[in-house]
Amino acid sequence: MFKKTLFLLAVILMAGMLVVSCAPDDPVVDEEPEEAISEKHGGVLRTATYAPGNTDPAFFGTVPDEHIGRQWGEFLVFIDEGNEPDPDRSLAESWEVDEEARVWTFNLREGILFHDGKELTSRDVQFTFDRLRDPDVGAATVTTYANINEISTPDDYTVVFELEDSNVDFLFDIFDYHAIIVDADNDNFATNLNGTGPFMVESYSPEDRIVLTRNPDYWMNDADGNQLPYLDGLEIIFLSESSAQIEALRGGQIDYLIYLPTEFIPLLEEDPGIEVYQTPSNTSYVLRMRSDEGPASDVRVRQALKAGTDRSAILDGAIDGYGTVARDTPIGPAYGDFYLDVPELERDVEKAVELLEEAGYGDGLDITITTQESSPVPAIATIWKEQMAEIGVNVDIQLVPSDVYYSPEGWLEVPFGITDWGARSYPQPYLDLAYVCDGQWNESHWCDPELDELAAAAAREMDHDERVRLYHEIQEIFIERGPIIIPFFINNLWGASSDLKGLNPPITLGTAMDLRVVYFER
Amino acid sequence: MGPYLIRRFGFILLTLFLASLIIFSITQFLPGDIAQVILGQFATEAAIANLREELGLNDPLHMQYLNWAGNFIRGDWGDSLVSRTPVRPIVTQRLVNSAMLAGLALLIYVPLGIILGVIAALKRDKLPDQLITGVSMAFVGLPEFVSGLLLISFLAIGLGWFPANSSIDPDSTFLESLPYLILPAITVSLTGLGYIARMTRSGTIDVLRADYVRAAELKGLSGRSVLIRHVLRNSLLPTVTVVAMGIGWLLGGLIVTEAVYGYPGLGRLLVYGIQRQDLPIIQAGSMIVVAVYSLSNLAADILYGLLNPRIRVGK
Repeated sequence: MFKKTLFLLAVILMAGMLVVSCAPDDPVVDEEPEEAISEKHGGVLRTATYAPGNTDPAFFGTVPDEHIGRQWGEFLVFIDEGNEPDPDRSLAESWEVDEEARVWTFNLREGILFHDGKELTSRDVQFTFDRLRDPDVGAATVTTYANINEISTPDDYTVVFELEDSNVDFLFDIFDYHAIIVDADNDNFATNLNGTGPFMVESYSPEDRIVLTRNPDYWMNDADGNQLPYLDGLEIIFLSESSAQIEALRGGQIDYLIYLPTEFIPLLEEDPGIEVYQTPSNTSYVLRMRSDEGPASDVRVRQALKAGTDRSAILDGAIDGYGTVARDTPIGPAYGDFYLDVPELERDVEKAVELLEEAGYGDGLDITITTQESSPVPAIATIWKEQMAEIGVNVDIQLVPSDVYYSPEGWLEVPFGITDWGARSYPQPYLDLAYVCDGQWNESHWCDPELDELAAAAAREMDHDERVRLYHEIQEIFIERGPIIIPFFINNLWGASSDLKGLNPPITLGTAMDLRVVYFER
Repeated sequence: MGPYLIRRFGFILLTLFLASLIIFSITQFLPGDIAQVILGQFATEAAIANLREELGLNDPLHMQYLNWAGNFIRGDWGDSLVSRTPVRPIVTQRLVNSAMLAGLALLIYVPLGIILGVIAALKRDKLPDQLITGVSMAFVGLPEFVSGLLLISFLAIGLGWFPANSSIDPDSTFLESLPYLILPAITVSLTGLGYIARMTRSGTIDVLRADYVRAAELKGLSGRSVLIRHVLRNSLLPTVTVVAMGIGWLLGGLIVTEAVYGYPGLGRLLVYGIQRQDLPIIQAGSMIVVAVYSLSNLAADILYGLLNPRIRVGK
């Protein structure tokens, strides 16, 4: 009997060794498509993100949500990489606006099909925006689109938006990432991802991956008249660990990453098989100080904390310098001439201490800053804490998960917090949402009548130079007495295998690249 | 044996019941609001309130528990709150994936550990023993995110022998998955190996001192024969327990290894469920892990009895 056991043991052992010693064949089999339209066509792009939260465009909230949505869906008007509307890449082939910027008329391209074969008409566009502004649906866009009075459809290919107040930035508003044009006859937006986009959803498991295939009826052609997209499909794998994502990219299991933590950049840059793309953005981490109660309701305290902050040290320490030093205003250099280009705000410890003394905190000040656990926020808080110690402010860091921070008792209420603000196509939403007195997300509870007036004027102003002047004045107010410290704007960073071509990173906007024109070089 | 088994199964049911109570209670205390998580941070309060009602989150807690437990026993493990699709296929698929990884890891580290342990015992306090004990303990102490990343750097990216990432298609067969399983299996084996080797070593040393081994030697049996017929049968007893404990760990506890390799096992599913506050996934996943632990322990005890008639119970 024990001979048998020994024999069995030996067999198991040998089997085990066999398994260990057998090196796998190359797991990636490049299947040539049977009849490629052109040499650029073919290949499946594999990428990884953390798992998405929502698939219904009305409730998109995270980068993966948006990234996935842009593949199966499209916008009425596409804003290009240089932040300009591009009718050639939009569902609307042309548009007109009246002199007051109150009535916007869009002419839809004819013959665009949803993935289920239904033709896109003005009714779907009308439905999409009516849904997004319906308070009963409760999408995040209700405020953004509150200015829309009525949407009408004179014929199947014409949509007219009548606005309450003039809005010169309306094209940017309808490029909001929630505004993917959906099928008016869809009965479940979370599970039936029926769009007009270049890729169609083949399978989706929220905890694992989403697989998309090329839309064979897609409307857009390249310069040679060949149908887009070039890729046969996309496979988006959900990996929450960034080190796993990076190793998968280095090992060739994926071809493309839309978000790179800065600590991995040197490693990727020295890898000949990988290309790193980088553009400045207007995404920032806003250290906001509650200005209606507590110590920071005293403008001298806010000024002291601002004076005591060394912004470039935070940029270097928290994200290894992959960004631009900010000036405590939400309008960054990515906005071109709207940006007020003043020298970096120098750290002034003496002035900070003086201001604190004047405010009655000569013996020191204790504050608590609520900090999300997601990187790089804890690093920002830690460096800032050290800087504050030097001006006699004792900062207590309270770490919380991001969802706790963004619960109603969190970011809108805490005395001090660090909120991440994504990039917008134009500066106005920051002011309207977070810095005018009755802004929906006025997290710092700051109320400055002068700023309110200027912000309202800027929203209405049709003349570009005058608008530039207004935005500059607004930035001066932020620098002088604002409720926020913005240490830096981050650079958007992408990594891709070197044989992936056609990637064109956008400025200002989010992390999405147009994958319709991306192809593998053979 | 019959009454003993019935009693043991009764205990397992009791364990599962208590575990279900604990799991259910803990999931109630997760920070944040599930409706908020589903709708995103910018949804209106009205929409959140509607969803809470729809999900039954406003029912009294004991009703929520009874509902869940009743459905669970009937095989309805609920729908994922995030995807609104049934949880059972997701969890069972992950269980199969975990079982593949666990099986391969056990195949690697159990035989290897036993052999190394026996060698160490026979060469006690000599160089081979010191080497085996030292190195294997070092591996036990090495966290998986370190050993995993080192293995990826050398074997996957440096030498290109294995894929650097194991996020396999969930529907792939064992053979298709095999290349992707090897690095994760080696990573966990580094940890498991040390325990098995230590256990086998000390068990074997104890037995080698026993009178019946001396008797067998004096009887003139060859060294090999003594080792196999008299020593191993007795010295492997404690090892069996370690192996059984390992099964539970391999099936539900490989959170770090699965995350480093992106392997779709039960551990990563549980982490996903917790991050997303997807209660049905957390609950079903944890219950499966508890069940696997209980059953593998039972299997160990039965095997123990078969190997060692002295501790057989209940006959």
